[in-house]
Amino acid sequence: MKNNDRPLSPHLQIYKPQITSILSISHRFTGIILYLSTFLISLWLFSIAFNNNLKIILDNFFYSNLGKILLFFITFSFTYHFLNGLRHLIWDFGYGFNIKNVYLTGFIIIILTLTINIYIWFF
Amino acid sequence: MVNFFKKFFSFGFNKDGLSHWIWQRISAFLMMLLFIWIIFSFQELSINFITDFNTWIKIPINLILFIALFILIMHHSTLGMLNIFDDYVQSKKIKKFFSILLKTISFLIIFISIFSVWHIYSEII
Repeated sequence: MKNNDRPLSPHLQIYKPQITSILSISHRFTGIILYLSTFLISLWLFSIAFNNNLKIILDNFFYSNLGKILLFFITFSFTYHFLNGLRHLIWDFGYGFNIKNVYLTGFIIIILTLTINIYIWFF
Repeated sequence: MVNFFKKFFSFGFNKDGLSHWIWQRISAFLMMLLFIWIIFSFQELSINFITDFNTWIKIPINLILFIALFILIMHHSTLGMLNIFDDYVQSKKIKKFFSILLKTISFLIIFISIFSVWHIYSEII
């Protein structure tokens, strides 16, 4: 049987959970969250410009617990994606590729992401 | 050389992997600079954010950089999402459908955002 479809990347469950695979999967996952959050930013800008009622609804939502949880996920995703993106750019210049540095920078990114988010939300 | 420029100025949206890769990095680097600028810039607005934001956007350089940042965000994230479709959607037809849908949504988000920001800018000038 002829099959013209190209092969897929290995599905996520095939990887053994380890810091390298978890961070790589998380980079994509946080990227999806950030893409979806652009809907909210766009809606927020639209509400400021054109619709005061919508702005009040959005303000109330972001002050609610659900809104705060959503904002927490967005800031967490942003911080993580930003820092891990910086790590990717450093790799692109050919630095930090040995396994020791990959683990070390991965660990630093987790610590920094947590620290920055604790600072944003609790201080 | 002509072929290189043709690929380069597709902004990563043709089927060339190198162009996609380069534009993903260019947009990432520029976004990082602009995000650092906007985070520091927004820190001064935190008391009455909306009123301060309206005043802040009145400064032309802020408006231009804010719009540039938004376009870069959408460009970078659309390329990233297309990459995910490439990796995990096997059927060419379904992939094409989702790619067109994604590009349309991204374009609409850019359009609504820039139109809104421009409206805020022109309203208070």
